[in-house]
Amino acid sequence: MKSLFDGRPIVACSTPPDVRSALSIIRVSGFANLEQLGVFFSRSLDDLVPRQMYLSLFLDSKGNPVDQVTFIYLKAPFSFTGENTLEINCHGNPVIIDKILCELIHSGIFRLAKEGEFSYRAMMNGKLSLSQIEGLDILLNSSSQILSSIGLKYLYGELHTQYTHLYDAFLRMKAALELKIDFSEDVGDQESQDLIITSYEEFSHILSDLYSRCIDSVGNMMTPTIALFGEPNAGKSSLFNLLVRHNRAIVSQIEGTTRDYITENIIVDGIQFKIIDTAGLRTAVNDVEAEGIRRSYDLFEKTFFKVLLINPLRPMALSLDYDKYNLVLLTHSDLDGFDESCKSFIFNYQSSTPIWKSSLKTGSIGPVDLKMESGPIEPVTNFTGPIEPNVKGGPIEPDVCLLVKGLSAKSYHSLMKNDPIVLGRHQIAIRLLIDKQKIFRGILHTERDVAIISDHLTEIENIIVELIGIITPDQVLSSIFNNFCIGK
Amino acid sequence: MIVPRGTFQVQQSCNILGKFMTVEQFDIVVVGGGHAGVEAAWCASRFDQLQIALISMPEISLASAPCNPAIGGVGKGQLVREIDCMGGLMGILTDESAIQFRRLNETKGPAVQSTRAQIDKDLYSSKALEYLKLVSNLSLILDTLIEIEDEGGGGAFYRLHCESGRSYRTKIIIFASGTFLNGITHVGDDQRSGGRYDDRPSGGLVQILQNDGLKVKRFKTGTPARLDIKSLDFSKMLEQPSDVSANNFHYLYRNKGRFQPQVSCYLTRTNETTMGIIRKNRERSPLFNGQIHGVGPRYCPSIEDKAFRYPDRNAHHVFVEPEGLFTNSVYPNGLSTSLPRDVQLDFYRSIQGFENAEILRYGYAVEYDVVDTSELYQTLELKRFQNIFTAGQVNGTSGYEEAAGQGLVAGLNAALKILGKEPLIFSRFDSYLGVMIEDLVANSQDEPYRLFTARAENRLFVREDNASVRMAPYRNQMGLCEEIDLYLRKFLHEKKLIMSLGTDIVFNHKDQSLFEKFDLGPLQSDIKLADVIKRGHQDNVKMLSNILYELNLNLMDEVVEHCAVEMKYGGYIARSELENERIKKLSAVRISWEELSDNRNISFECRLRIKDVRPLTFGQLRQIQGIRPATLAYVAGRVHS
Repeated sequence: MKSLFDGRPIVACSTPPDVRSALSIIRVSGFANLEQLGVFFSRSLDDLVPRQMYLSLFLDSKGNPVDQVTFIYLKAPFSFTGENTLEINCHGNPVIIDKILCELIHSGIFRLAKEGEFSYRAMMNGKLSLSQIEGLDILLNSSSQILSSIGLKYLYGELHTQYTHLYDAFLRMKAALELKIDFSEDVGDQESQDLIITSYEEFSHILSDLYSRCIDSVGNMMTPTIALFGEPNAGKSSLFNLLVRHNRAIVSQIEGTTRDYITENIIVDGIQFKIIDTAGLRTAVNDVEAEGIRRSYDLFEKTFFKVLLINPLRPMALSLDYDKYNLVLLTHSDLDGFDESCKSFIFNYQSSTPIWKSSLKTGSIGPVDLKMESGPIEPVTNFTGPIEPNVKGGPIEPDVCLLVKGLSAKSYHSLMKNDPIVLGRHQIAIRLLIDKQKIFRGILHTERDVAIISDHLTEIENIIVELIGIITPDQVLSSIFNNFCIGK
Repeated sequence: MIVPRGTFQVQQSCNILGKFMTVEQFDIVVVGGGHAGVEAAWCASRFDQLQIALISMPEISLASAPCNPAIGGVGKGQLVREIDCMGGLMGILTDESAIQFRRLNETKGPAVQSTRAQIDKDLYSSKALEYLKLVSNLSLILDTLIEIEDEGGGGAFYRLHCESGRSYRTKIIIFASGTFLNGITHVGDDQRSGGRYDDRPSGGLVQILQNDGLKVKRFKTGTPARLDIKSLDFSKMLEQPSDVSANNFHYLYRNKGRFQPQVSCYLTRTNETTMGIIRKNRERSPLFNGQIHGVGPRYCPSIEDKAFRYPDRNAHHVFVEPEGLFTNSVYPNGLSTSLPRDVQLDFYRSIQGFENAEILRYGYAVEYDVVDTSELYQTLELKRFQNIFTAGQVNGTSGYEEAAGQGLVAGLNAALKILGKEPLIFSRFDSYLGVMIEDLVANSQDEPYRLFTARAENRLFVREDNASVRMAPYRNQMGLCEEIDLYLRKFLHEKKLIMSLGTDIVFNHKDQSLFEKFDLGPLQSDIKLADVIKRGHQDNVKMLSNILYELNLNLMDEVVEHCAVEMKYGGYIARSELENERIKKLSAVRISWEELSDNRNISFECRLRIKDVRPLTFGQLRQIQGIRPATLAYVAGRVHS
């Protein structure tokens, strides 16, 4: 990370460099003046008007043309990075791109940008706030269209605006308190006390709005996970194979030990899920297996969508809390004796988690009729039919796959509906704020010592600073002077 | 008489005011006899091996109070206590000339409680003169400085030429020239040069310093008209009597009672007619018709400001404060104005109780030059001029207390510099002096600077009751042994005793009768003395002093008070100390402003600010207004690695 600080002009190809395309964009940022670039272009750079496009030949060090390009000059600070920037549009041939980059780098003036360095410079030059950078990260790295749109909102400052509101409300609350200490002769005690209360209410209103956008711990929302759990031979691997066989979005296959879990990526309804086949849930026989099982439990906490597979024909070795799963699947419905075993299983089933039966051999599914034994729970009917498969033209996906994918996509969508705050750092800060705010509410009603009230407010401030930046006494005083008539 | 260069004549006590001076060489010359200058001269002269001179304009009395007749207030009271515990003069002068005391924020907790005193202005000035006259190594020179000459060019010796034709040679100059630098006063369209109404302006500093590119800003301040006490009807106003409970400022005067008879202040309000008259005369107001360019303080707006900025509000407080025991002059606080005389008389008379008011002197605004404080070191020495210090309103502050505080810092540091000792740098974590100095030097101020408690991060610790404890280490650093030093030693000794009793004494069920006798609350299980005091269901100072009395311990009242507060805040202070330690460590890290102001990773505006202010440490960088969090994060990241 240290070389990020050298401040040298950087260059990089902003479009995929290894793919043939009609055009590619090469960006150069941070040069002191255009003269440094003059030798590379057949056109003179003396009379450039910023933000206008020019046509020129790109020349190599001997003055031979490399490509016909267009370029745009963006003068600091009016560019993405806040530095002098030149955007060169060349033809999208990897050979040409490589040649242009090499010419620029070999000149000794420019170096190849590190990953994320353009954004880094934009932040350092105050063009982007920290949460905007985080938005950009989501935009570039998110695995779903939904997260991409959240990224865009961060980038355009939606969250930043929310935080600004929170900050303003906090500032008003702090100003009201300072008013009570420093200016009680100018503004009466009662007036400043009322202001403290109203500004506190406003603050906690905005805070609880933000809090409601913090999703509970659902693992990493950037790449949500579907994991298959169950005792050995419940059919996890069969379902896993069914789920990935009909999906062409396989990018990699990471295999661990036989006792570890296997991961694949699938795309459902615009969301990239990581699907995991876990080690069987049972008491370990040996150390290696014990490690595999421990990992399964770790994974459990981080999993977004948990499927529990049960073979009702075999006696259950472990007692499980079905409420912790998102879907319970009774497998082997094609085998003899399934219906009998199924009845006795659901007799004891007390959970509201959807429960389905399936044959993993045929891929067929059916609802489990919980009424058969007058059980307390209605059959699950919230699955309304097959979801359009992501991959067109392939073999028809078995129903059980559509069920798992459909339900996971649905719960993902419902979570994302409220523009959730997905970044861990923000969630932690907001949850801390909620805790401190509860303490502060108590202090506000019981404590008469204003300095102590203010001390608790400082604790809140320290967390807000994490979200938005430093609050200076001058900002507090300005807020007072702008809103109250002060001055004996 | 001819004095050979490079040697200093040992001089006799020389207090012949405005008459023949036998000495022409000094170690330190203080220019300006206001609150900053008086405190600077007094503090520097504590080192009796140094020869000090104070040059003050002959027509103005020392330490005069040209605006409101009060010393102290929220935040400022704490500062006066600090000055006092550093051996300064302001606390003594205030106590001896105070005609009313008030304890502000009395019900809001000890950390934000402050004392304010109304003073008899004339008495205050004559007391200042009395005290300075007693100092054998301090010469008072009543003259006006007209020119400074840098002898030899390196700032090693300066020659000061005065109006009388005399000149003086000195190693160090402390400028405390107040509002007199290129001052212009305004009453309506009547403009005159001068730092105060009917006083002349002083030039000297600006000419020499500005020639060398020192940045100078223009500020504005104002004052209300003075009214004749005999023409006011106090029966129509609300009386505010003096507080008996408020303590004197000076550490030795705590149990001395009051030095002067106490008088009341009065409260009245402006009304629709008052504000109507002002609004009707907008075009005749120098503040609003473009005649005044200087920037005035937002916390101390003129009545015109109030009229135009708050068009819906007509009732503004007016505090009616007598300016002394033997003067008819009354200060109507809250009515500062620069409107023409006829408008002033009109609107003053529209106020309840002022119907027949006679104006003794009209209100006016004054514009004046100030030094950009980012040009200063924390000792208040100018970065570009060796051995020239500036203090007080010339540094763009407002308030007598702020001025005196800077006088103290400049005076002591000038003396320490000559003696070749470590400079005295006050920390913002343990003093308002530190808060003020750091705020000033870390920033070029955009409006006159005043202390507020809001500026102190460590408000629970920087209190009036513990000024002794907070100042003791600084006094120690000065290496003097005066009465205050002995007092501080005794204070700390008694504090240590009480605080250890706080944890050593544990009450059990046998003490039930004691708890009942002093109403100390329930006694269910064994409890430490400190925890009993912390409960604070009643006055915890009283609780502690009762218990100590029961133990036959006769300790100083102020130590008992301080310890009770300390026990109450103990947990909070310990916690904030941890945080302060962390910030302190980071703040003390040295940075190179040259490198940062060339660093293209830092935004253009931030680089400009850095180049302007030239911060030497991360702490100073952090204090600069308008420095972006990203810049701080970036620099912090670098200094860490």
